[in-house]
Amino acid sequence: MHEFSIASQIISIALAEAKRRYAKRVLEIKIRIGKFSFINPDQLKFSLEAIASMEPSLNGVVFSVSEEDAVAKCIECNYQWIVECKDNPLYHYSPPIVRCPRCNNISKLVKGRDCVIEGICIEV
Amino acid sequence: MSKIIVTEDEGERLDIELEESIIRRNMLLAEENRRILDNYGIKAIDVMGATGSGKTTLIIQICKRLKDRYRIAVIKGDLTSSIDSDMILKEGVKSVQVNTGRECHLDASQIRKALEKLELSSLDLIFIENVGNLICPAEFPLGSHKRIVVISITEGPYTVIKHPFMFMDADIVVINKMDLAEAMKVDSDKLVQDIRSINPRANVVKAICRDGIGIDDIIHALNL
Repeated sequence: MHEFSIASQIISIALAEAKRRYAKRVLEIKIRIGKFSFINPDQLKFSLEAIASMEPSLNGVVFSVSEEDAVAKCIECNYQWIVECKDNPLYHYSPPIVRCPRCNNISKLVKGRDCVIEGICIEV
Repeated sequence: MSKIIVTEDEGERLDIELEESIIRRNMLLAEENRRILDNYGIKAIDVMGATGSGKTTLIIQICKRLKDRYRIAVIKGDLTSSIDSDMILKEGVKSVQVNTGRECHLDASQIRKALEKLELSSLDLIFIENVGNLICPAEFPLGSHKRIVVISITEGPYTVIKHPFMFMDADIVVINKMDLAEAMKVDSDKLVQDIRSINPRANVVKAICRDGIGIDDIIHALNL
């Protein structure tokens, strides 16, 4: 599903940066995904590895995937807190509606929904 | 003449910080799409919903009513076929088919390419029909001005609470196939309640798109 398109974008960003720096090869690609992102880490890794296997400069590349906590902010009282994320597979495609523990108003997730390529490690 | 060659050590490792958000990339592209549309004075409407909910029928019904007042085009996302595009073309409305292949949603870059295929100076209104899916399209803004979510009675009583994220940013939610409510034993008022609890500012319209019922209310809600 959309993990494949996310993976292709990550690879193309990494390759563009590596080319710009005349890298011999890319050793590591560091990725951070939010706990309430819609990305399944296993599927993402599978897609990344599949794409990397077709690219000689990515031979032996390691994908380091870390998770980012989800932070919510109340739209009424501005209270912010880290949202407990139970391992519910449903959240991979539909984040929960969170309510403020102080005033019970609907709150927005302000962190934990992103997918970021943190950096790469290259051999020059 | 001696030549000095500066080389880096063999096998030197270099750590490069990038901090580039994939989600933000799509968002920036979506904003760019919006600027292009605004420059041409075009209003774009994103229509989302499950397969078979009635997205195409809704668009065709709206086009029938508005095609004499506005110059309309439809961008249609689908995995492979062009069945819907062919139906839209019959209405005499321009249509661009975007086959997403293995993707479950349209993204901003695909819309950008579709916009390049249209003569924007001769358009007032673009409908973007997303891939039939109640999950993924919510995550990928396209640059449209309004978002319609179409659900149908046949999807059952839990379709809203099962996919809350889809409804959070919707401007209009259409509850389609109202004529089947009794047979399906689905309480449409409960669906309205569910939508309101997630997104109190959304306009909710009950409709039977095939028969043209509710279409005028939807057009009104779109300020067209």
